[in-house]
Amino acid sequence: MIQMARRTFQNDFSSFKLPSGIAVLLASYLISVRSAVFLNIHFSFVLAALIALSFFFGSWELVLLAAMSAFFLNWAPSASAEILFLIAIPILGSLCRKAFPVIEGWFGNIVLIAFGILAFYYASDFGFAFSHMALVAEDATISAAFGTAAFAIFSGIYGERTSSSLRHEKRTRFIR
Amino acid sequence: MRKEHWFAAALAVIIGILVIIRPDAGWRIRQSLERKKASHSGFVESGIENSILKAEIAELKSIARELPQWAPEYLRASVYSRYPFNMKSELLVSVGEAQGAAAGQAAVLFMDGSEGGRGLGILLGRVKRAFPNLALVETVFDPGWKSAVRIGERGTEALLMGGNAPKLTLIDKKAEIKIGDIVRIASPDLPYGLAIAEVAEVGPSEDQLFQEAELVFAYHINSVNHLLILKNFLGYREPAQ
Repeated sequence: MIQMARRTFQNDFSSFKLPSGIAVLLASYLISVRSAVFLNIHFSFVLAALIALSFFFGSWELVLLAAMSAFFLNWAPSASAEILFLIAIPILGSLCRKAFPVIEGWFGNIVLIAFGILAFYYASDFGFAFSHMALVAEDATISAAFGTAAFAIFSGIYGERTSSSLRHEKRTRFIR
Repeated sequence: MRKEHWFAAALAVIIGILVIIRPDAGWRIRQSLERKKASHSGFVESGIENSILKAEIAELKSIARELPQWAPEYLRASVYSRYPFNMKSELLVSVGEAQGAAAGQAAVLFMDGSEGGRGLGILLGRVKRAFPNLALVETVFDPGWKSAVRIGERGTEALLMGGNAPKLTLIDKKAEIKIGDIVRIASPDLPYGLAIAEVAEVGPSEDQLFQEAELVFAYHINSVNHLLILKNFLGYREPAQ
């Protein structure tokens, strides 16, 4: 009964899924800008939100959300490695999840975000990441907490795209 | 591919093209999202004025006669966007090569009435790269920033190290540094004597061989919306005999 009610609720809201994903990205961007003004640290909330959203969206929707993040965060007219990594890391994370279906649920989300942020720092500027380990750890911890909140909200409304839910989705499409 | 996937893919391609050919569209949206009622509060302005006056007094007391006479020419610039991560501190500003901006020029934070004369403003950074109509300014908050500075009226030498919280290092152990002393630039590639910040705290370095100082800035780097680019530093006149 509860399962049925939940599924009906999720179906009713499925048309708002992509706009809600974009809204979460915008909110994460604004929160990171405001926190930079007060705390002088740019938290990687956008990257954390992108990784959390990769648990709920298909590949093309994720590419769209990553492109939107690049559109908002690109700060200079020349190409930058940071923006490329910002796009690549959530997509690689999503591929990792497909290769290793064990990475599921909120714990998998935290692990992916933490690794994603570490990979982002070390790939973008190894010297900086090596000499500012405390700052990188602080960012990874707080951004993982933010990503967990985004994951919990999305999971409650839309349900996670686990390997079993994808199999169920494919079967229903085939029957139709 | 399903219908909704085609839609997402097409939208992703359009945004990808926009990122490459019209990055300014993103900056404009960011600007409108980040817009504040005023760029600086009265408190911040009085802090800037205080730092500028302290720098002038320090200069006049110690080195006034040796200082070259210099009539600065500057470009007014607005901040379009700022580096959104922790690895650097850069600002993209609205003037470029076409307006006379070039790599190496000093960027200063100004306030109304302080332009011209010696009290020009506070050093914010330097132009790192100039594009045809835009320039990238590296600020003193960049982790890679290093420059020679002088502290207070005595002009004690030190090294300014950038970062989220810039600090002064390599200060002589015997030097007398007071809280509130003004820090001025003394680097050969930047106009001598520009104020940077004030000393907030002094203590011995980790190896106990020098002193280190933390700084307090009269502005917040993430609230800076306008600045000046000094054009003619390289062409300033020699002091009158």
